Amino acid sequence: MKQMIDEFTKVAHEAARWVWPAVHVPLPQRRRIGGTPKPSSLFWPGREGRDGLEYVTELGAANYTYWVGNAIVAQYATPDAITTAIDECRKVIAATQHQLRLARESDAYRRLEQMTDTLVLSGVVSQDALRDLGEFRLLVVPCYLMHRIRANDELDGLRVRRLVDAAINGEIGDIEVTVSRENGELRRVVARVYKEICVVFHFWGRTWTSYADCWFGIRNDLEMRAFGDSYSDQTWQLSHVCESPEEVIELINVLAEVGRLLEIDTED
Amino acid sequence: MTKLVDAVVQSFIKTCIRASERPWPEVRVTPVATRAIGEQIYWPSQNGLLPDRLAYVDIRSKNGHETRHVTAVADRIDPNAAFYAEAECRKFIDNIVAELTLVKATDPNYAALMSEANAMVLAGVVQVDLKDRLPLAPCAFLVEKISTEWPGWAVRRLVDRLLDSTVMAMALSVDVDMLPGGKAEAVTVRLNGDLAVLFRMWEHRGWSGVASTLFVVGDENPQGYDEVTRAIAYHCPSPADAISFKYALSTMLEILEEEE
Repeated sequence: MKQMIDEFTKVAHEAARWVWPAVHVPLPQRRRIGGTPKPSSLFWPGREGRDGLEYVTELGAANYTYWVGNAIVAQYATPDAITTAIDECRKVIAATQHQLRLARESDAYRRLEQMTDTLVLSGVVSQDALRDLGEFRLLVVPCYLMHRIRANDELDGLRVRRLVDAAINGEIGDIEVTVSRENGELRRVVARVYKEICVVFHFWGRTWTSYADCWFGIRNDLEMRAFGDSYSDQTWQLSHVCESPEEVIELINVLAEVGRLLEIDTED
Repeated sequence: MTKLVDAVVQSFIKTCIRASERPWPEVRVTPVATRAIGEQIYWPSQNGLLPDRLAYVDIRSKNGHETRHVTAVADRIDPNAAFYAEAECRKFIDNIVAELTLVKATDPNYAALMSEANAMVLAGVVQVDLKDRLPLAPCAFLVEKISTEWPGWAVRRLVDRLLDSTVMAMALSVDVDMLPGGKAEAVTVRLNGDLAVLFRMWEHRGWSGVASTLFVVGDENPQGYDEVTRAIAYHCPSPADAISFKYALSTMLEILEEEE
């Protein structure tokens, strides 16, 4: 049984792993894999979505979710149910690998590979750093562009104004701009450049002619989260916003346009 | 005897619901200690803020506790406890009335709003009973006036002016949504956090189209003097806030009404 649980933990972890480009494969239906004495039953997968494959849920008077390696699984899940779950995880892994192979043959993926190689050759990103990023390495291109834009600690406020005007005049697609004032003074400008990705300018001098500092954030319904500091944080976050290489190319184009309007050299 | 007991409980319920009404302008309120008013029933609830929670009770049991409206537990309230709780409610209401009287007598912003509101009542513009919120009627009037259709170019001019504006003495944000083709889809002017005026270009013609305008609070679109003043009262707790809000609305209206 121990060997079986070890194998289940291993394949469930592999099947639940987030991959980029994101591929969508059919996932196993939730089903009962054993009973516990409370009385309640164990169900697998424990959650919706790919990451749920790594969890089981105990449904009874109250519901609890456990990692598949938890002792409760070894104690109460039936061997037959675990064997079937292992098979299904293997099927998910195989289907994911197949889809990934197809996605990596797209033109956009190849273009991203070329751009990444250029960054390495020009010495902007080291080969070692890329190796650490694994399959997320191609997302380093937009991260680098964002880094170039936000590297300007003191950005001329009038350049930000030019970006706002261009957005309102419809010169850069479906960008969304929010200008906030307080007591008649300019506080900040937030431009949603692509899906949830925003660039935020904070005006310390409170006028368009003052300097602004700049950072990138990811906005959801409730809050704006700062984009991570390291390439590994940033590429991980980006992999959830831009699930396909085509979307990354779109983001790169928007960032290049934003950089042009802000008069920041994003070419290398 | 039963009738008398019922009357005591009913009177308490009526008084605590009255005490839970949020006054406008917002004034300092004295805390009310939570006490048992029946088996496992505690009033006022410890969830939420005063005065809202005066209308709620906590039911504590071994399985945890839940919050219910006071009317839901009327048959379980001890009349003796209700009698003393009602006295506490009356004291609370008296304190609020005293604070309100002070604000009304001394706050020039309140007086300015009130005289305008009285003129509106005399002219027959306000026909609903807004109670404490009557001074907010001029703000609601402007909201109603702005909530109509405006040409896209007028909205664009408003956006341009607001981007450069230094006249608004309040927190304001202008949010412009663009469509992929580069046409403006919506403009949201957010005032005082959650109060916003939304201009929506329905015809996908951008600035050259027509924008229908809505007053929105969060995800809701309050309509009519009662709902609108309720929303403004919540987000502009003092007469000074209401004056700033009114000034922002009238500035926006002036810009929208300018000839091309």
